[in-house]
Amino acid sequence: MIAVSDQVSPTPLRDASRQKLLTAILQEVPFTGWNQACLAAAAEAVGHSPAHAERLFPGGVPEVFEYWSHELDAAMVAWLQSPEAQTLRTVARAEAAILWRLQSLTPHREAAKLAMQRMSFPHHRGGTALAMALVGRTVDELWYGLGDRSTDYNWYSKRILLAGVYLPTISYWLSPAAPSLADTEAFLHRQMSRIMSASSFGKRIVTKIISSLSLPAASFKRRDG
Amino acid sequence: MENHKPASHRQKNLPLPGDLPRDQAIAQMIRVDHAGEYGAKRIYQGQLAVLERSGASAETLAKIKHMAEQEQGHLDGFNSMMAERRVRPTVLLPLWHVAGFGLGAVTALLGESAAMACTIAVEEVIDQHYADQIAQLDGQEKPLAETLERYRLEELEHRDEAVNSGGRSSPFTDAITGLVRLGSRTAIFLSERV
Repeated sequence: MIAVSDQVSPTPLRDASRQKLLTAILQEVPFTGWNQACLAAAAEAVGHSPAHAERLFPGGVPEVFEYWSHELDAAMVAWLQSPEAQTLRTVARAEAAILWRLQSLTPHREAAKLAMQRMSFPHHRGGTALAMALVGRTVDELWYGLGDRSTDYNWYSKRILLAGVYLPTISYWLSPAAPSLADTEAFLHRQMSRIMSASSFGKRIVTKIISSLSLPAASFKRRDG
Repeated sequence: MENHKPASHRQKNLPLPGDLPRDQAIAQMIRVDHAGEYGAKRIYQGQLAVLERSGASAETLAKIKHMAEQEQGHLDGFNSMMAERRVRPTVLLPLWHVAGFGLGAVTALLGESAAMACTIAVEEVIDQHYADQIAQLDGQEKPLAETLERYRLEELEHRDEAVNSGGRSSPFTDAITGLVRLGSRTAIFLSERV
């Protein structure tokens, strides 16, 4: 038996045949759902035997999720560097990048929805743990692309805050009411403002805590001065 | 249990099943070193906070300030390595922020020579730690290994200065050495993992 790691591989192979197969899979999914039969059907659609899918994605559906998400991450980071995105300020740029991701997902909305459903089950491989890993990677890529080079607790707080915007937004966009992209943009903007005000509140608290922790040093200083 | 690595592999330092992939192992190294330098900087800051008020000689203060500056230099080095290689910091950084400062301040309160005993104990653990990492790199990642070696020698300078400043003569030397060694090794163990 071949052991397949549950972990997200750091650099997925990005070759043309995987890309081609992914496109075929995404067209197949709305009819079959995310399963091995879908992968086999897609392999046949690109003129190969079902073994082709197993060769390219030995980890099955979870590996396809991984690959798909990484592809979108890479495209999103490339977009962040475009002149169009460069003119925006950080928060607006992050919003625009998330929206850009949803826009490029639009043709595969149904497949994305089914993927999200499948990844919401905590108990199997390619479930919630994979979803968390993928979201974690997406927000990491996003922050890095936005130029964040923090190496302290901000590294975590920034990523958590952004995940707190990204996850509700994509869930909203994929919800049964099928909101338009414009509605989603408004929703995204509201989430971002909510998080921004929460984070400045949090920052005030953290600053308070830190300043009270180094109080002995500070009080010494005052006596000196 | 004895070391399970077969002799031939152990000698040649070849990867074995269960070892981390190389880039992950290096990310782990940078993460723990970053945490260590961060903690070291905080220890010296804690020492300075106390010694500046307790009337320590200008010479001692200048020595500790110089050490703190060098630790800051190391920390800056790891900061840029982390950004470049996309290494996340350890989750425990806020803990080292407090614990480092506290250790420095408490030992300084026990006297100048106790502070120096703490420096000796910490720097000895760090020296060993860097030496282990350089051995683990085994000729790979030359620039990284050279940086680690440069830092290691500076840490040894700190130890020697602390010895010359009476770090071995405090009544607390033995107690501090034992506790700080244990603490530093625990910190390394934890920072490597989370």
